[in-house]
Amino acid sequence: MKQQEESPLILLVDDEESILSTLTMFLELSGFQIITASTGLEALNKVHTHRPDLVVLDVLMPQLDGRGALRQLRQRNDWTPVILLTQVAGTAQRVMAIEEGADDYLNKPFDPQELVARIRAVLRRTQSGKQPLQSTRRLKSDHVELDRSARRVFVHGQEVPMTPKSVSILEHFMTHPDELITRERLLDVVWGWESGVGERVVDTRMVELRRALQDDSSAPRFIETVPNAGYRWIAPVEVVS
Amino acid sequence: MRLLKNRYFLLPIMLGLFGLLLLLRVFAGGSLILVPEDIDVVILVLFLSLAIVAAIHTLVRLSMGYLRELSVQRVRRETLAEHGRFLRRLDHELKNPLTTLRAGLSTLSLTNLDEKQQNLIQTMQTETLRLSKLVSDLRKLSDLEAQPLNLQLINIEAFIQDVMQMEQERFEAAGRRLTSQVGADRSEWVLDEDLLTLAVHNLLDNALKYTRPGDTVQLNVQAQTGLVIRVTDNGRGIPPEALPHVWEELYRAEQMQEKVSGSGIARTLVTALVERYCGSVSISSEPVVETAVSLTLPLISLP
Repeated sequence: MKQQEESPLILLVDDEESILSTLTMFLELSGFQIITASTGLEALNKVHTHRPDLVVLDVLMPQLDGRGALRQLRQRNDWTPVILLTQVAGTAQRVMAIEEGADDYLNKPFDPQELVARIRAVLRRTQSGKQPLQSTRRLKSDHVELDRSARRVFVHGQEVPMTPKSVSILEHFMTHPDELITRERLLDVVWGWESGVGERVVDTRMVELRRALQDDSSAPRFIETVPNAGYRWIAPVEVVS
Repeated sequence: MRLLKNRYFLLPIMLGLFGLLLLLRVFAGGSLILVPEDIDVVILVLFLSLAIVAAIHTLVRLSMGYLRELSVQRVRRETLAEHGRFLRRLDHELKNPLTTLRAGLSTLSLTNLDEKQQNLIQTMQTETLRLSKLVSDLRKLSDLEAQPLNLQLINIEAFIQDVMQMEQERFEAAGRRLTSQVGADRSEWVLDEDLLTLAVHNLLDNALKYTRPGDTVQLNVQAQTGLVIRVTDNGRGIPPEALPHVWEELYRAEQMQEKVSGSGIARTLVTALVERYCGSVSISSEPVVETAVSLTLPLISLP
């Protein structure tokens, strides 16, 4: 079975048996090979023995939780891509998850299709062999430059003042180029909210961001609106060393 | 001053005054000698001790009332905290089963099913999604009550212009007319822009829901000593018997339920927002003539 050999091996870690069994079935139908673990310790062992292409890791687990497992993994200098399944709301915790070395995260309860999309995106990002955009300080795309640690934005070499939220949106776009990003996702990443009630809040910031980047929404160079879905950063992004 | 008006203080004060008068008489020395001197002193002591007893009684009574009020406040605070804990717990406990349900249903939808079965799965998926949304709305509600305000200087005219730019299209597409009017003493205000955006869009959302094509919705913003945001429409309005309940959690007037989607949580969010600002919200409705929702936010000075 040649096709089976080519399909990526995913390690799925969750302490709830019902989640493991249903997600395993879904992910297998979506073309992945799945192995499972139900504690952080078991996960660490399986990462070592099976060398999966990616780990989907639940945060809340008995014994060693997801965050602890991730930390130990990175301390061993193991950079297997990890998607965290978070349960706690609040942006601070999410930012922490990414800083602790997760490649992405998803909030429970999530749309399983979204998990598949996220797995594919992370695999694409990490398999390209280039330095991952997530771990770099300065990013450049056409005439827009972003200094991630100083939270400063330059357009045509000139610094433009922007609200912290807009900078965070820009950061998310530039670290996820060419990916479809929904309003809900932005709301979640930048504000820490998940629901549709506040999606208009995103639009206000998009108006501000487009104005600052001198991007015309009817003929965009950077941010393309995908009708009824969200936005996409269409300009290529490069790392500034 | 409040103590003097209290009727429980009247008795000791009167008794005390009477006692003082008698004392004065003892010192002035016998202009009205109707009783022997020692009885005079006995009466004096009697009145003064009565006054003291009455005063102590009143003090105890008042302090008991004060303590009771304190404990009522504490209980209210505890109830709020309990409410928050319950919401967070509910949110937490529901997340895993919902994750399983959504994964299971998505798996089923990928298998070979006939049209009837597919429809069934579709319905269940929609309902699970609704449940997920409700859970995260409840979560947001408890977050809103706890989150610190993020206050910034905001230009109110530019803010409303942005709001209009975003909403105009949506209202036009739905066949409603949306107009706005801003009257401001000065344009810079200290506000939490995200929360304000959320509140204004929620009000407009509601107006859109409860109007019919051809109706007019008006956004009126007055910024003088406080900020008043008023959304009026000539839509189907709210029946008078439902008005007092409009702000209750999850309440929806019966005759509205079939026509309009949503859980009614948006309004609860608006109330929570307004409470965070120490503002107020009011609603009046005369169906088809005018339904108005007003948010009043006090001016917050920079900390």
